[in-house]
Amino acid sequence: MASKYVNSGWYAPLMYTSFAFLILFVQLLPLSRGYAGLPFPDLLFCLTMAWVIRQPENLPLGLIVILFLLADFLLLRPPGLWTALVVIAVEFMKSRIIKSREISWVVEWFTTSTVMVAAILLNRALLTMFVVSTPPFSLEALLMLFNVLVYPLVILFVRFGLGLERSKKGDTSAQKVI
Amino acid sequence: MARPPNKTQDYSGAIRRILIGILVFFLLAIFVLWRIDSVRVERLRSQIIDSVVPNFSWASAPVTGIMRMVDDFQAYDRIYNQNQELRRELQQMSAWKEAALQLEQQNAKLLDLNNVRLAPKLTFVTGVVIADAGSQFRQSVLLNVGARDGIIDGWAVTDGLGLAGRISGVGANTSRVLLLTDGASRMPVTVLPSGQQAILSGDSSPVPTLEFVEKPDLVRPGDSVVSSGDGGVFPNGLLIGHVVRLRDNRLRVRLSADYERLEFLRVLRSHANPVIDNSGNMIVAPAAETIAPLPAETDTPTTGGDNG
Repeated sequence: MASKYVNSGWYAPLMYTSFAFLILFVQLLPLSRGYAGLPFPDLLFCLTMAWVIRQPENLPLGLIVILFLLADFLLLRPPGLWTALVVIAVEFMKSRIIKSREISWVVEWFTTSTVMVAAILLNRALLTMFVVSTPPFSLEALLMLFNVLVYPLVILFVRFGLGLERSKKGDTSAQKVI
Repeated sequence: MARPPNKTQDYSGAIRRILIGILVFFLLAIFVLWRIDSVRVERLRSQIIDSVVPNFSWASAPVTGIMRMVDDFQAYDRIYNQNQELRRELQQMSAWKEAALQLEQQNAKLLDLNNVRLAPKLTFVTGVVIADAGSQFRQSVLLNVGARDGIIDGWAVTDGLGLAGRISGVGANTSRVLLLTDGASRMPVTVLPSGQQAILSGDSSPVPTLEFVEKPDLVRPGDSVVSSGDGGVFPNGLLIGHVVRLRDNRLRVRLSADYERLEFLRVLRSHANPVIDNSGNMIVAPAAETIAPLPAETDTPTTGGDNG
């Protein structure tokens, strides 16, 4: 099995990890004004979704879990919960992608937006259930909006910046151009 | 791949689903553990931050510097107006300075006359802000001083102008400052000059609200708000800000600390105040032996045993 991805086995995870750290780094820059301005879109989540839709076999789930758990700890989120939701979202996307390989970017945008909004709402519902203080709903609504708006840009970046194309089922070469 | 693809997929798919179920369960268990034993997991969090974030600082320092320069550059177009404004303020200030000097001397004399003993002077440790919370939902910053420098949870942090927050979470080399604007921040305060006690509670807006004011009609916009020292965690009398009343008609506090530029912060070493934890004893005619054990009671139990 491993010999199939010998040329892309380490490249994709390495790229993904470095972009994840870049995103975390930018978010941690001490430029905050001490109060909530406009929320920063969850770029790591968008990137993960766009990547998983294109080349799920290139992105080990363990790596996603480790990076999101690290992000949970660094960004002061309740650890584990958001990671669990991301895992569920990623697996859901993978199962959808196996079923329908040829989807246009509009459909992808719509599906991903629905998943992201559902994940954020579920996160909020669970936090409320466990009596953890939640941020004002207006901020989270803005976050959803920004995630949805920024997603097409992430698609553009992933396609033309990183050159990730959707791999067909049974197709072994990851860099295949459709 | 000799096997038919459908069969392998069903087989590996089932195992995969079970493994993912276990993974999700494990992650949710971490969350529940955090909810149950928050203290221990938060300690783990500050250890993780302590080992990861300082590695970013070599890169974040130049980027932050450039961003600040851009900010400063944008300020140039306002500079003429600011200059005029500053001149006017300077005139007022010099008058105030004269008054303050006279009052200070007068105050010193009066304190001396009354034999007032002031609290031991606060000393401080200054730290540099190396990172912020990273999300707009939490308002906190990370300082480059930690347990190594003797920082303890709960100490007050100021930026020289006013109170900025308190330490919440200490790693070996870093410590986290929960800003007053964070949604989880609650601070007992006194409103001067009326002396009303209140709780300053952050709500992610730049102007935290003033809650549980005993008599709100005694509090006017412009009154100054200082820390009250209730609860024994904070030194009292630190300037926090001034009362404002915004459109939503709630009492809020415009903070004195310059939250736009939190660059260097002072952590005030506050030494534990002596706590009065017993109510007054009944005053009775002193028997000969009741006087002796009194100082021993506050001591360690070993000396207490001698008396008993």
